[in-house]
Amino acid sequence: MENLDTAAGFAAVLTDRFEDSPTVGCLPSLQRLARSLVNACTVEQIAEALLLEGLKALKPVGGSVCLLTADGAHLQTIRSFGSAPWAAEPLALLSLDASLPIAKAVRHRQSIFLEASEWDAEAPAEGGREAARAQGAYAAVPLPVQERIVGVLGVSFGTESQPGAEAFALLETAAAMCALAFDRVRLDAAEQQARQEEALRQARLEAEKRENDTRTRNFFGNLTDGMVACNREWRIIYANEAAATLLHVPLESLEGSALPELFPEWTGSELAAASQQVMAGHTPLHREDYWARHDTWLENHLFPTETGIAVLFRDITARKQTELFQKTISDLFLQCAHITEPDRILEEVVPTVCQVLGADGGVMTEIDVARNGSEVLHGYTTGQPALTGTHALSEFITPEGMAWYQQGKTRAVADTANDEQVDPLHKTQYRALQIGAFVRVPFLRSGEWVGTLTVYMHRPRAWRPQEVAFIESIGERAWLMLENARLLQEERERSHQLSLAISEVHHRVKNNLQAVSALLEMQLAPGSTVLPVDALEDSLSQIKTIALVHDLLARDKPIGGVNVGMVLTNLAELLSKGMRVGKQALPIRVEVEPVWLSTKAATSLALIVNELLTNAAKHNELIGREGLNNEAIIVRMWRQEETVHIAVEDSGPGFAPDFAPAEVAHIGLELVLTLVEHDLRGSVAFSNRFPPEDGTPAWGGRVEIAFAEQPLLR
Amino acid sequence: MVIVEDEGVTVIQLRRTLVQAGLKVAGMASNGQEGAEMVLRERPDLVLMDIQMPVMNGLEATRRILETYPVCIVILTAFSTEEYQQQAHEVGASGYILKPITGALLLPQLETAYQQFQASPPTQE
Repeated sequence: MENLDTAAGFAAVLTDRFEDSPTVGCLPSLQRLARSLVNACTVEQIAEALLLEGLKALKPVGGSVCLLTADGAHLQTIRSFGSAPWAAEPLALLSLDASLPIAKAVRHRQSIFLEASEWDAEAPAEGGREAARAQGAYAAVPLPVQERIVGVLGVSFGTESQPGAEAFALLETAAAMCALAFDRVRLDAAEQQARQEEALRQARLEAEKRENDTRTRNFFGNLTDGMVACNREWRIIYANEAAATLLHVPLESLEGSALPELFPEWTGSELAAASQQVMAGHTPLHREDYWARHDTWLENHLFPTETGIAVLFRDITARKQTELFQKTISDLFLQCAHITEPDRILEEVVPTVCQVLGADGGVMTEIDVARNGSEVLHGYTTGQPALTGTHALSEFITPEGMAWYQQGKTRAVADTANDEQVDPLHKTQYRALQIGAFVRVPFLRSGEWVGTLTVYMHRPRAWRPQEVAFIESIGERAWLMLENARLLQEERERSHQLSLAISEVHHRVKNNLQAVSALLEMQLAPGSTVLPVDALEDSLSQIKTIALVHDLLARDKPIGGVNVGMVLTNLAELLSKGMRVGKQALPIRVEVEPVWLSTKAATSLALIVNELLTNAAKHNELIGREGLNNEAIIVRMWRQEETVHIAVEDSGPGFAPDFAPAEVAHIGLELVLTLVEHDLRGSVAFSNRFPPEDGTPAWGGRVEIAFAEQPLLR
Repeated sequence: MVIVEDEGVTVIQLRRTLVQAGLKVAGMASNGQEGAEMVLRERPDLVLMDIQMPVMNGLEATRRILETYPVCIVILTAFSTEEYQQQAHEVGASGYILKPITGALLLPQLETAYQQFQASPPTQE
């Protein structure tokens, strides 16, 4: 490929091409022409060089250099001198269709040489051009470059000159050299123009790009979402203000920095892998990533770009935390649904709250505002021993704080050491317990502050709203579950007691029916089928006595126990009404302490006392001493250490000194002795109230029963 | 004969009935533990045993007695459910009589139980 761009290259081309030219005699002339052409930079300079240097040796009288116009239809005169027919005027245009020799030479792509005599035949006169006809020989030589003709050289000789073949060869060689030079200059000009146009185009594109960039920056700059664009080397080429805020890096430090250097944790992360995938695959990706450095969740939209990747992102920590908290609450209470023990509920709830929040500890406390007391129900901590025991409320809470909590309001303290609402005394307490921040949620029952869940950190912590809401939500539900569990527990205990009581009553009923049956059968004499009236009355009295115990069993507490003092009082009243002295009821004085016995023991004791009182009344009627009626019969019951004593005293004849109860064949006495010994595992003592006096024997019977209280307690 | 019964009134009734029927009452106990000790000490031919008693119930006392001493033990109780009757059978009791009871009804049932016991002494299941 010929190199016409530089002077050296062009000179080399000229030398190569024309060193074997037949115009050896004209070589110096051509060499000068070549030097001039090498230095020529315009078509005018080339034409000038050709006319002055190239034709000098031929001594022409005139000449012109014309170039084809861009449309290829005209010849335009670039330079001329002397007698240059039809092309004397610079820039004059000649149609290529003209019959003049220069036009023909171009059309026929070959040189035309005319003798003066041939002029008329070859170049007939054209209007207005007659005067410009040549006087002597004439030559029209096309300017060829490879296959193209770029113009034509016209030369007029004087009438004395007779140019030969060598002159024509010189003309054709000079024309060819000029044609190359023209082509070179034209090429340069075209290139320069193209370069200028390209530069203009580039400038326009740059301006458009700058405008687009500005528009884009303004657009992304106004976004609340973060926007970062990276090139393929992961260098940040654009970031908006929101990105700087979300990434906790100044904007000026973001742009131009390499992503892996700015965020070392990015390297090897799932987000990095996804980014590489987007950049390589040219497919957008949307994902959510947790950023441990700032305990933040980001929603990332990754887009491939021409230069690398763009990431549009936003902080979704609040949403993610809310989702996590909701799931935690749901799972926790699903898990707790089957738990009915209050302590186990607390064991599940308090640690879970702390673990989910990454808190250092938590305490569920029962509050008694009236007594200024707080009792830790459950304490959890990740390190040092958990809080336990009871504390005075005032140790941690000011009166204003108490009023606050009694309104059911939560308090979140980010820094106990510097919070204005924490007074100096309490700051000392918190420091001692290493509580740097806390959230305390109060629970109310009937408008009273009764409980609290406190979650704390050893160091200050800015609690997020959703974190506080989580503690409130889980705390209130847990407290509700706790109270329900407690109620259920109480109800179960009550139900168990009731079940025991029903079972006891059922069994007592059947045993008492058995006892009634036995008592009735005892009244029957062996072989007899008829029950005497006295015996029937005794049996009825015994049945009523049993009924008395039942009556109290149904009303008294504790379930299954009976207040025997009340039984004896009611029994005395019942018997007193039924046994009369004259027209008046028999007075029975009762002096008893309340003593609680099992139903069975109470029934046995009531039957014993019934027997003793009935017996006493019978003997009292027999004696009928005046003056003693108000305290003719006395029932006493008292405790002495762990022994219960019951004494029944009457105003009858009393017991003889040699009285041997075991030898007396009496149903009532047998009943008393057996029930005392068998049922109460106690003892009976028979004596007289009044000693012998003035020959009168001792009188006034006294029967005292003693039995240990302990084994009969329910 | 040994009576193991914690209700004094019933003890009197049973004792009177049995004595009148010509049986010798060797002892009366008010709970299962005393009853078992008394039976193993006195070695009677027949035992009347309540179920619900303090310290040790009648079924456990029956089981313990029959571990070392085969004797006709008749349960006398207010429990009427199948469950208790099954348990009494399993521990080797020879009879099961429900309260309330009269002497006239008790004696024939005791006699039946004793005859069955003599025909085929029980083995604990």
